[in-house]
Amino acid sequence: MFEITDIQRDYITEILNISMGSAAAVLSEMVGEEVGLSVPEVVFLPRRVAADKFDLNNSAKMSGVTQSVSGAINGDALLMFPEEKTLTIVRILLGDTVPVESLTEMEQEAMCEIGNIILNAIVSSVANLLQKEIVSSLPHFISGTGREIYAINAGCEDDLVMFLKVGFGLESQSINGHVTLMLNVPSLREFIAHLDEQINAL
Amino acid sequence: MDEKTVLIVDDSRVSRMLIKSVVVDRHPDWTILESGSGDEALTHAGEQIDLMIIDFNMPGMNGMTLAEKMKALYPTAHISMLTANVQDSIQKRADSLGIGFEKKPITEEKIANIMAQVQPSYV
Repeated sequence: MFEITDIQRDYITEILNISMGSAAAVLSEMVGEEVGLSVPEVVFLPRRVAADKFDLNNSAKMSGVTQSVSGAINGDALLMFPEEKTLTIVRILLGDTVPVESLTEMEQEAMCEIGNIILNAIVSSVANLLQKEIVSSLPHFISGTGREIYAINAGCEDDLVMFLKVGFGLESQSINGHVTLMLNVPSLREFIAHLDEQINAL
Repeated sequence: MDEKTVLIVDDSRVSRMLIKSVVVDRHPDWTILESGSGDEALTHAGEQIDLMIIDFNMPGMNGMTLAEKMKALYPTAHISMLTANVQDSIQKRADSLGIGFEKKPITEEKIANIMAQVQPSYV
């Protein structure tokens, strides 16, 4: 089992806190209201177990965006919302730029761009904090239960991954979503080595 | 009036629509060219272009590679990278290339700031 020290866990949580803060600032700028954030969770679990653990909406359908990341960290970044809220989110963000009748047609495309901005804010912040470069793939729209979405890399259900998860909420719209980073363990050793460099420099 | 031509390069149709709506709102007489990729943008080479607003993460050629090519073709045009990829390393590359750098999300103010690079009275 892959293990990290308390100080490493603390540092990872802090990196996620800062990175999610950047993403929240971006989201807040987009929706024009304060974004509430939960305390970050960091766990090491096989994907299958994590999918069950984090299927918090009791198998309700979720929609979201995923991007693969590589470089200083390797894995997947996900942004997820309850499926029934995506059209509301798209409407808030696009305002009257798009005619109402075109909103449904543009829903997936708009969600991809929203995900691209939010996930890149997080990934860029992590890269800047680590003083390394992270390459992210183009965003993909995803939909399904939490369990289905977390198993996005079919055949990798038994892989041990580091799950970093933060919830966020927009009070006025009763919208809650979450962002997850799933980092593959083979790249984790390198990631932890980067962290140690930073911790030792403190 | 001093009419300008703006080239918007972004693989997201939504982003292009948002940028275009600000430009049209502030300057309906400007010509707007749109491209969904770097390769498509290069098909406009040779046409009059005064301002380019370019995304970084796109399928095929990334925005920085496109900006380098466009900078060589249009040394006097203003080029701004408008991207969600706000890593220091990307910003440094934009700085060293001598192009602008704005962080997404797209706002009216950010687009107005970019437009002001070719027409200062339109801040």
